[in-house]
Amino acid sequence: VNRADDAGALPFAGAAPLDAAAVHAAHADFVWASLHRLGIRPADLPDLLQEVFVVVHRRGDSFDGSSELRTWLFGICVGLARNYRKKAFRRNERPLEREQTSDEDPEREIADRLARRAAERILERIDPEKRAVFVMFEVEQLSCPEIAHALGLPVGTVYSRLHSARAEIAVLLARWKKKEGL
Amino acid sequence: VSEPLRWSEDPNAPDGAEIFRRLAPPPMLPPELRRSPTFARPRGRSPALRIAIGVIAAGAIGIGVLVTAELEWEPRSEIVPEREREPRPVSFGPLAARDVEGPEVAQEPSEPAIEPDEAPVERARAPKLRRTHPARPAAGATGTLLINTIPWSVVYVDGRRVGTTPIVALELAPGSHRLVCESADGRRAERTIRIVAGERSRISLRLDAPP
Repeated sequence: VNRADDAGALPFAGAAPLDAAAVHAAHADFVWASLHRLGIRPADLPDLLQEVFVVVHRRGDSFDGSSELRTWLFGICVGLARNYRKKAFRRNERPLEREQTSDEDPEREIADRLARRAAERILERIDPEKRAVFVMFEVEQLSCPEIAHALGLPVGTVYSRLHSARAEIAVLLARWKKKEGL
Repeated sequence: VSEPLRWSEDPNAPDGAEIFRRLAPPPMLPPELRRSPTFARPRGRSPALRIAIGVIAAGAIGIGVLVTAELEWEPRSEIVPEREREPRPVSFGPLAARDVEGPEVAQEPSEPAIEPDEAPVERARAPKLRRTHPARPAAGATGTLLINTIPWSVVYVDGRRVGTTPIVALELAPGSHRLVCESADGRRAERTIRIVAGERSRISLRLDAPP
């Protein structure tokens, strides 16, 4: 049975073990974007991308084809992102790369940067799976059916995760505003 | 369920929700990471390796069974002749082990509990760290030995490893025993000790640096 994925045109017959190189060729972009949505910093993305495909290579036999390949890959990304967040030193690291700046309005530039930091900090505190749905909807402006297709989830799950993420974020936003005295 | 409004378009969005619009979408996958890496094919164990593992496992189990059987067997006359196990009250004096109530300081090698190496024939015969089984004493007919060394060391009694110092209560059959203490850095001391039934003895040694 050829259950080719329309996005990646990757054949993944149920019984045959997965070829990690073929999965990489078809889904590296998706994994890359998913890791970013799950909160991996740009500097760490290449490492995590490699870790995902090491897992695919090692556990390719255990993928039985009962779910969408992207759902399985996304699950691996979520697991690795959780481990990534657990490592305390990541929280204390500051990325070395310079943020893009414009010389037009320094004050606005600083306000933007502070707002970005606050948004990242709020997103760090919610569950990675909800975070990914929220980022895809609010930042990447994807529709719920598109998100469902990309993640291999039922649309209802996307709605419920979005709803739940928004409720948590609203509370964190209110707390942030109060703390900042805004 | 209808598609919810985005917070950027929703007048009822929570206060401050606009900060999320400043977040960047995912960056593009760099071209150098687009190339598929080479994955080594996971190899199962070869038949020869499986056979080797099986043989080693069977050997280990066999050795374990033999060792267990040998431990249960008590070689009564292997180390100490039967007559030497008798309590020998005449052996006290300079050669007797000191009682445990004695001073707590570390003793020099000329401790009375020690018989200096004065029997070259016996020393030549004494096995060096050979793993044998000292006669297991019968209950109630043993003496207790406390061993301490500076620095700490591995202790062998009659060629059998009994542990590392300090050893607070080592039950030994009465009579002579060969005591070897060997520290991690190669210092070593050999003594012949005499154990008296029902008595607690102690021996403290300062191990000399290797020559």
